[in-house]
Amino acid sequence: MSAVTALQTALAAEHRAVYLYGVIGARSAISARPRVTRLWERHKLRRDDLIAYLQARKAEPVASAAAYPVADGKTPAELAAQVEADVLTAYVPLAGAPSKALRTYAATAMQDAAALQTRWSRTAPTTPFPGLTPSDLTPDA
Amino acid sequence: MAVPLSRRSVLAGLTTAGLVSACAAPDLTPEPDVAVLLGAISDEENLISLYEKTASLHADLPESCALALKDHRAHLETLRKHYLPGTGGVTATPSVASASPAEPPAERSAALALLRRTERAAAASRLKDVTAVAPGMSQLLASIGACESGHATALSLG
Repeated sequence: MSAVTALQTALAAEHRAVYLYGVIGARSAISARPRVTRLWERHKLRRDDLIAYLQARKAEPVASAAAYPVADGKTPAELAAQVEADVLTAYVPLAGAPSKALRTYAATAMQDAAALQTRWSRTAPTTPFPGLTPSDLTPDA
Repeated sequence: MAVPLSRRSVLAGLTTAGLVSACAAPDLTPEPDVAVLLGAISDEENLISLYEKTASLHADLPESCALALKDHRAHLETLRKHYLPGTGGVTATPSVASASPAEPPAERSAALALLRRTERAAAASRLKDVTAVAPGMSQLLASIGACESGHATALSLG
């Protein structure tokens, strides 16, 4: 996968995260909103970083959808935990990009997402290899 | 979406030289992946040892400790599959996590704090590692670092 395609994948996930954190904030207790707002801002910053990386490569950044589906019957914390899990997975291609700076950026974003997923779910990671599938782990030689 | 992982990548210099000319002296210099891989293996061994020692000293650890130990054993098993014995063991660079004290404190809260710090140090080492290896290995190490970040956070939940 090219760096541009990997950047677009991560950007699409950040667009979705920005939208869904808005929903999460609207559904959260007032006392929780400052924290949700901070995380919403963090995802907006990452979105803007990714747009800048794409523009630096003369690529047209993928646009946000007007709206994204919201899972029924989930608490705000459950929704946020799922958002972070999805964001983590979306950065995996970028973690294998040719650019070392992009790899570090992606790996940092994955660590942040894992920490936030844990905070929202209040449970330890549920897989030793977040974002990867079992077939990704086997050497091919 | 992950790039296929190859054990051959760590021996690229040797295999390429061997194919090009059987008479010329082969380049025995290991790829950077080997040193990074051995550093990550060392970190996982250290974490496993620390969790085991901590569990033997403190019977009332949170469930997150057992879950972390299970994940580190899975990391170690997978990383070892990517290492071909004899390919540059002397080049391994101990990471920050590997240099952490191996003996858990007698006080429970201090022992948990040491586990948290060691998890964070391991995750920080994986951030450096991703710049020094092939794409597939980079993704694997990024995923392991994310897992370690999650466990460091879980240990702080109380």
